[in-house]
Amino acid sequence: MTNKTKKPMPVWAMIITDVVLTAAAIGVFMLFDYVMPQSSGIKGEVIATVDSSAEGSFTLPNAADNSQAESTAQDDSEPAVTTTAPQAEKATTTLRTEQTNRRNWGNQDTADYRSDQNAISSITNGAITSAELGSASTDNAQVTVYKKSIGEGSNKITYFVADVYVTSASEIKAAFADGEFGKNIKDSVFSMAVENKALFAINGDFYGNSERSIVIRNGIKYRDDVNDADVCVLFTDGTMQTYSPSEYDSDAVIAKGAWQAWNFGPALLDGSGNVLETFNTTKYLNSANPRSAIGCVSAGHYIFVTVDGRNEGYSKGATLSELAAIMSDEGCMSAFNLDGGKSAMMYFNKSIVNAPDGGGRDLSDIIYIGG
Amino acid sequence: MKRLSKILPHITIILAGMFIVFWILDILNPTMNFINRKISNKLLLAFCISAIITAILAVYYQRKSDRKE
Repeated sequence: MTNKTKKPMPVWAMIITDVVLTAAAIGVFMLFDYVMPQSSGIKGEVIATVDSSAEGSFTLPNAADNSQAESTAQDDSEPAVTTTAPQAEKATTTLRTEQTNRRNWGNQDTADYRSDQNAISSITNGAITSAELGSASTDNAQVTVYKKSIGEGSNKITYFVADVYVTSASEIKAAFADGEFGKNIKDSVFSMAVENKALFAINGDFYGNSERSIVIRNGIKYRDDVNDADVCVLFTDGTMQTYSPSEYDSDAVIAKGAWQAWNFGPALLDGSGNVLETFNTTKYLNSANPRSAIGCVSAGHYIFVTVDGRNEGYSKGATLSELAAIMSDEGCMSAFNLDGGKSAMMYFNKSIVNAPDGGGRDLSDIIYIGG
Repeated sequence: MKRLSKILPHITIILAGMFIVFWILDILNPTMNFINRKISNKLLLAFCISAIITAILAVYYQRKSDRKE
């Protein structure tokens, strides 16, 4: 009879096994929580409608031309290139109001980051090269898209600006991937725009990445659980307002007629066109990246911006200070940072007009005009 | 019991490794919200239970070996 004793695993093999098992466990976690689509079954609660009397609240700049054609995508010829003169310096900073009870996302890194005055003045005082890519209109909306750039060499920033006029706030629409509210339900901006017959579209706030957020789309409330990021609300009267998490009052916002609400941010401007002195973000998110943002010039007049990035020589991307300065420069009174990075995409005239980092990615939602 | 005492330390190591990765990812991109997700809370509970049992077993075997000496 032999006494068999099992030889223990060498220490190095045990360490490698544990590391591999840890990586596998993280992989399974990611697959379950970030990849597998999970339908919520939530249909939402209607909280706001735009009645027919509110349609046509605002007039389009070239309203007279709209009677001639329903959709007039123009211009296959070379776009006209113009260079704007540096703008006169204006007051570009303001203190953020109400900074109480700012919580974190689950770590100690989210905080108020001061806006960079050098970056702001480089945008407001720099020469911007602008080229019109085209315009299109329907009876209720008019969209003109410009490609702009500022800076030289490794500091160059290339961005796309959509100047949007609508006759009613209800013309600013949002759509979910596969038309369904849920987790990890994703589609490309292009597909969502085509499915919804959009004239123009931009990425939203990627609500499906978060279990907690405010989700109000087209007057329907799907989720009402404010997280630690800023909130942007577009009201049925066409006004747009940004809130810090502590300022956000769901009942008050709904009572005022919330048509859309996005929970990402941070807010970029103070409501009077001045860049906020601090942004509710992290150091990493504050750095130069591809960006998308929505801004409001006045009720019925909105600016959408997508900044390309991570491509030195073409566009380095924008920091939040630079993005805020761009939105202020475009005449916005309030502005809000949407999802960025690979998500930053703009659709116009049946194609993606910008150059998304890594070809872009599938998302939960879009904001669109037309359809 | 012996098998459990062999497996549990590795489960604890794996769960600890996962939370270190989540913590780093959360610093880089808090909007991903790895640590505060519902499933992460369940994993955290599993991590605590596993750590407590591992510690109790470690103390038990330590005292047993002390008594033998």
